[in-house]
Amino acid sequence: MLFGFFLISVMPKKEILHLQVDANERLRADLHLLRMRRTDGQPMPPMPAGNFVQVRPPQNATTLNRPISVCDCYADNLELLVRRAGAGTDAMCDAQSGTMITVIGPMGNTFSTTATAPLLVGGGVGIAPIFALAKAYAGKGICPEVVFGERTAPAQQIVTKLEKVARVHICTDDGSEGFHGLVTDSPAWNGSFDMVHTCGPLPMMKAVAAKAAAAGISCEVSLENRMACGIGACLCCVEDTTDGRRCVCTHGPVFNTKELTW
Amino acid sequence: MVNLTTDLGAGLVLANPVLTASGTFGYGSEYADFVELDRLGGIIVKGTTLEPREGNPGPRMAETPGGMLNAVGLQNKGVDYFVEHIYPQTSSFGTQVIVNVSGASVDAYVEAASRLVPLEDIKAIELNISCPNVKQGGMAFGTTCEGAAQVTAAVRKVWPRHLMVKLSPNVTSIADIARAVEEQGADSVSLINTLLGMAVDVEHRRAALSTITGGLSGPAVRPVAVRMVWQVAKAVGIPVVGLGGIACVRDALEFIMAGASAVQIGTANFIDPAVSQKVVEGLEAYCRDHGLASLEPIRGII
Ligand SMILES: Cc1cc2nc3c(=O)[nH]c(=O)nc-3n(C[C@H](O)[C@H](O)[C@H](O)COP(=O)(O)OP(=O)(O)OC[C@H]3O[C@@H](n4cnc5c(N)ncnc54)[C@H](O)[C@@H]3O)c2cc1C
Ligand SMILES: Cc1cc2nc3c(=O)[nH]c(=O)nc-3n(C[C@H](O)[C@H](O)[C@H](O)COP(=O)(O)O)c2cc1C
Ligand code: FES
Repeated sequence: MLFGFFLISVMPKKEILHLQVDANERLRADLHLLRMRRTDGQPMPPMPAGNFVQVRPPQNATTLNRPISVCDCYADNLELLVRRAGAGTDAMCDAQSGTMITVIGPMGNTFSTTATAPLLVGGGVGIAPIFALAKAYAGKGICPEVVFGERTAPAQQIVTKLEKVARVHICTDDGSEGFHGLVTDSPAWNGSFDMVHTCGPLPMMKAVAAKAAAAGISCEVSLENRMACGIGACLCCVEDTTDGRRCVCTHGPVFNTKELTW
Repeated sequence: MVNLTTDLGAGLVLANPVLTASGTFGYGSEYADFVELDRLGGIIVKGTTLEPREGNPGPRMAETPGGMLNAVGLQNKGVDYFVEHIYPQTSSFGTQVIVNVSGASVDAYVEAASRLVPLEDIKAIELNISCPNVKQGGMAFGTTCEGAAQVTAAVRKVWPRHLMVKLSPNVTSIADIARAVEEQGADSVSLINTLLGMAVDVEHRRAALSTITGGLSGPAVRPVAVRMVWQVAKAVGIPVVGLGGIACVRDALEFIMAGASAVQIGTANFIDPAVSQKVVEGLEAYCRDHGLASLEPIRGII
């Protein structure tokens, strides 16, 4: 390629994918699992855990695209877990089977998968990349511990998916299932770990990071800054790091907490 | 055969009239997976200043109806970084690379432009005069005829090749500003830069952007931009480069018919990263379908 010496080109090639919604499962009032498929007979490009895609909301419901984490990616399928937060995610959740959705990706960096005893902590829709990561560890013969925090009893479909690749510890704010309390107080932390990976609401990730730091365990977090381009061109998504302001879409979304100044 | 070659004068010849707008296309390589860069008329790289700038804190972006507000604040690694690390790679692009130059004082503009003079493949710089003038209490150079003329005249003395001056729309009469920079030797003008805007996050009771106000871009600004291009094209003799909300070939044609010699694609690149090449192909198809050998017969017909 002409641009072979560009740093950016060491990243996998990004594609504009036109995917067909094969199934749109309503898991809860505000949470949907979308399974989409390429229709050109090609496999999906590799999208390792941590990667996200830029989704063009159906019906052009928003001006800009919306970043959504890769929850699962296999053969010609891509699965996204989407929580209703506004017009863009509403349009995704309302997509009927057969709808074509344009998705650009893969974007961003990936979680590390070099730990031998990882603890994964997902909160709410943040469980999406955590599932992808658990699956990656399982593929390496490691059954990770996953702490899954939710306000109330989580959707059974996600728990079932998770249990195939991880040991799952559910925490609920209202005690309706699993441990009644915060993910940072889960008994799962009693194990011994060499790495913590987390994705979820910012206060939760900060608490998880603080707990990992106190225990002397390295910690990776996946950030959700607002994005426009998703490919490092607009500089809208920056986060302050020990190395200055860096784009979450290209330098992240996954950061080791030792890089962050939050 | 359709010929879209566009000569903007003073040595700046484009293979076609489609450029990408500063701050929306990175340094070009970010889009290489989506666009054949050598199919574009040119790439205008992100705002470059004399010293490195870390830009504004987040949040820097807020979506608004049909557009977006940004408050990036000219984050860039400085002109020397461009000269050493970016420029050597741009020669393989096979398209014109134009550097967008910004500054907080006249001296800073002049010094940044001077350091680009030895780069022979850079046939043009685009002077972003929407920057706040620190010495004038932060009022943008481009909002008065005097400020715009002053910075244009000073850079004109050191920059020997094509000088494009990018105008701010946040003025009462953009045609007056355009005439002022033409008098000082600008070879072309581009417009519009972002419109000053603001949005409030009512849930959290705070401004949506860290800087409170920011620059509006995207389809929402297009009618304002088309109007300004039309006014400026009537007021000056130098070529006018039109931009603001262009998202497809139809939008580009609107600017061309209003008098633009070339166009730039900005925010639309974020939505469809292949859009710039589609506009090039769309212009070729339009000419073919309408029996036009070039865009000349329709340029400025309004
Ligand atoms: C890398 C990354 C991965 C993500 N992965 C997922 C995922 O797997 N599933 C999922 O449901 N969501 C995910 N999100 C969040 C999702 O992008 C936002 O919920 C979505 O952009 C909101 O758009 P909207 O049009 O539905 O709502 P809007 O009307 O745009 O926004 C609704 C509210 O959400 C806030 N908001 C807007 N954008 C973001 C953002 N990027 N992050 C946090 N808050 C935002 C707005 O300020 C507003 O208060 C991810 C975000 C990022 C950056
Ligand atoms: C994120 C972002 C960054 C920008 N940075 C610059 C810049 O550095 N210099 C400049 O002259 N204009 C900058 N602009 C303005 C654009 O080049 C363009 O003038 C404006 O966005 C209107 O065009 P559009 O509606 O097609 O985006 C920026 C715009 C955006 C959205
Ligand atoms: S979203 Fe544009 S640089 Fe990250």
